[in-house]
Amino acid sequence: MLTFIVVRVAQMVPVLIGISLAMFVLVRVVPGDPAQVALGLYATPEAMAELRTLWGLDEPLYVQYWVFLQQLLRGDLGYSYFYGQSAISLVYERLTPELFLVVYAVAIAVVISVPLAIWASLRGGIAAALSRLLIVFGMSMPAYWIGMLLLLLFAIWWPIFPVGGYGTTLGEQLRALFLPALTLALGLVPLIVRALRASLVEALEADHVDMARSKGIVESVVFFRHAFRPALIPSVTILGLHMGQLIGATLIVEFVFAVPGLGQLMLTAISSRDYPTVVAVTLVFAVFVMVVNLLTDIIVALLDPRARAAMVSAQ
Amino acid sequence: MSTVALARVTTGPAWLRRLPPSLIAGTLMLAVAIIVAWTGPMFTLDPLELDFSAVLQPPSAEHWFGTDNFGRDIFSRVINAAAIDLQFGFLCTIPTLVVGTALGVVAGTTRWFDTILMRLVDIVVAFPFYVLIIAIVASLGPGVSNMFIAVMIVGWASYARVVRNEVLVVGGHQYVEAARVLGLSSSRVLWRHILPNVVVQPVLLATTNFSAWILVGSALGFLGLGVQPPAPEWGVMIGEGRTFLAQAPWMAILPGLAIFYVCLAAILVGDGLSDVLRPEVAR
Amino acid sequence: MSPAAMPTVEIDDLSIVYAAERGGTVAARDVSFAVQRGEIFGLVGETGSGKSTILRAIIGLLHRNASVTGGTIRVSGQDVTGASRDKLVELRRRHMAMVFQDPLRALNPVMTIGAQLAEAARAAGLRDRARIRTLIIETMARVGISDAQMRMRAYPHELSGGLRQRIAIAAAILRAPELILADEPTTALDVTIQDQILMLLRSLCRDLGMSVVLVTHDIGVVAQTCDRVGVLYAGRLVETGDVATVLRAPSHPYTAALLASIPRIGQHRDRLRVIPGRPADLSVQVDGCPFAPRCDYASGDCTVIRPRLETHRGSQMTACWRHNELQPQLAGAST
Repeated sequence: MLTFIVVRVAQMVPVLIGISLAMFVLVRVVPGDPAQVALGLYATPEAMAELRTLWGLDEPLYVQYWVFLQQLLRGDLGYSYFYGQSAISLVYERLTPELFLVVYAVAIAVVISVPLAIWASLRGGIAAALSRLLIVFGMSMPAYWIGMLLLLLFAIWWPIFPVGGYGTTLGEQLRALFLPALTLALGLVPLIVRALRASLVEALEADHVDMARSKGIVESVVFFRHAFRPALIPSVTILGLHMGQLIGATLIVEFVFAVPGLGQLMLTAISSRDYPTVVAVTLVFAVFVMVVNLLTDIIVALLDPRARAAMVSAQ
Repeated sequence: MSTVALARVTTGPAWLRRLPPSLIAGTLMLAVAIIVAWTGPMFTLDPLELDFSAVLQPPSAEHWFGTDNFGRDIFSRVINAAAIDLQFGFLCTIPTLVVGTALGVVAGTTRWFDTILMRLVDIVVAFPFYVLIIAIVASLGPGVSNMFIAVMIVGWASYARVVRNEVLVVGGHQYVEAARVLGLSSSRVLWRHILPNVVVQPVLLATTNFSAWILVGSALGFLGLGVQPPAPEWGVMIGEGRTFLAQAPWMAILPGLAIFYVCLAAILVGDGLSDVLRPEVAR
Repeated sequence: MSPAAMPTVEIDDLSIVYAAERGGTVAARDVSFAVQRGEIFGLVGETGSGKSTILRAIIGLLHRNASVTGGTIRVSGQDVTGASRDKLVELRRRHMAMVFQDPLRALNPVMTIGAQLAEAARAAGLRDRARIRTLIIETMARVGISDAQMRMRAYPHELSGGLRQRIAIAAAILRAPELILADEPTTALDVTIQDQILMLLRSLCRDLGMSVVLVTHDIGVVAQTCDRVGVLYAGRLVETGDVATVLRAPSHPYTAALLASIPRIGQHRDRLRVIPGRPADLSVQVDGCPFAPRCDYASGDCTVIRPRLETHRGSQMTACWRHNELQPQLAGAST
């Protein structure tokens, strides 16, 4: 198991290098002169030339890339002239709210989806149609619109939650992040309910559930131990797959609710042409997605001995 | 059983009655949307006309959806935006579908191409979708043409993967190799034998993607990175409505309903088609 | 009736129906039979004859859209058909157990063997972990599994088919029930293993004095393992009796045809004997004997009035009007 994790972490490295190269190219390809952007409209040509030399922008591309890689390995993700601090410190500041939001969103999604899926699996025909209706509705509504509806309902007309921001104490943060987390969660709920309901219905018809019943085990225990536990596995996989999309959604949700997370940082960095920050945040997102994938695989391995066996033998 | 199976069509010709309700409902909704988008602008007020005497008015007999902060009639803006958003949906879906399917078929039949392409697909698909699009559009500058570039860079991947998997199921690499041994030209094999079998999945995916693209286009509009004001576009309008959410909620809510309507229609079509084309998939 | 003489299972006029969008199918119709203590009763029939459904009805595990529409089932004197949920649970804990067809699907893939066996022990009332452990090891030995300690920690997918079925049987006999219901227990296994499992079932039954209702489509299994047999056709019992007699001298055309269709070594025929026609469509209710369309000996009455099971020759029962006159032909056809 440990070797598996180590191998996976090692596999992340070339991917990260690939992404860094892609980001580097993307940033250099962009029209517009970074020196101009940094110094503003009234910059003199001499000042810009000096800045370009300072930044090594007049060196050949491969030299620039080499410098870039070296800095990367030292943990230096560049300096943001827009914010006036190193990119990595920016990321560091925004990391906690981002993680808080993401975890909060997943928690809310699970709390809503699981009882809904269980109820739907036990009810039969109509529940199947309703759950598909839920999916269809969920996939047709823009996240930012739902976010604004929630804002309207629960922060403006009926002000139980603040309109945005982050807050300082844990209590404030829980309140401030509730609506954005709920918005994100509502994107996940249809997907989880669909997967969990389907696998629960399948599990409930399975022979091993009947076998458990034939042993004289009470129905509620049969349900949780023999239907629910195996049925969780595909849902965990699906949740893991969508975490990447969730990250993307934080860009928009943080914008709507003014949450100081990585998503908002990305957005402002992009519109203000703050390329070092864009690169830094992109890399952090990539690492995040890969870590989530790894975690998903580990959780599945913990839950399912067959997957464990397959993973070990795949070395 | 399809989504709206509780209501079945009870009149009309036999073939119509056999279609799943979601397909019928979705197609009708979509047809209405297209007709409105096409002909609606002829009948509505001028979407660009400013009227500072009637700013932020709630819905009324004169302005069915109310007015925005410039006094523009929201109803006509919503109707006029329909053409833009729907076009975006179609113009994104069709090229990505075609290109992605073509790449997928080649990948499924040619080994060396397969390895390269699938690596590429993995990278594109693993990355947060929205982040990629936003990053590309922002780098290139806001505007519709740049939006298309971003879409083309990212959008082909899911089709390629799906189609490639289907081709492999149908026989893929061995199919073509065997055909070549028999002396058949590969293009013939592709057209006559492989394509008909693998066309279903990407088409279904396309219906889902259609609404996804509309959501993307409007999200970019919302962020100010897509269609530029004063052109009416649903996402842009919601973005404009954000500042006035408390005073004039109709500015933001109503265009959102339009998006919801169109996306719902597309998804229902996809749902119904899926029932028709793949009834063996258990529901 | 004294406990010793009371049959383990008594089924009277059992009828089961599967509901469907249009009409429904009758899975079982007026089925009656009884199984005595220590007896192995085989329920044999083609696919779709209703045998598995009847078995599931006995333990109360009918599928969602199936329901008992008539008759009673009694296990160890207690009513099953009208039993409450709690009562059913209690019956399953103490009095009966089921062995399923495919042991890979019947075992929970994410639980260890040991955990699943322990669960059965706990359901039967045992609490002490040490005692449970001992019981499990003993039972595993009894079903012929060596190395019980190691096996207990294994997961179902790590074991062979035969071993899995032994585990399933172990789980069944763990609670020493009076009745074991076996649903085609060897169909999913290799032919070489089938024999072992059947022998195991038979010897356990003798040693522990349990009754077994064995459902199978294979008359060979019945011949090898069972004491008495019931032949099902289209949801109706057409013949019952002790195995030796029924196989030697069947008294129903369907039984005779089944026996005749078994290929024998040294047989001088160029074709296999088949039963002409198709299995009955259970969604349509016909008058008369359900087998009549395919019967070699059908006469006028056969398609009009349905024959009832009637006793003859002591404990044999048959549902054929003409069994008396057909005796020589039926007996001849089976050789």
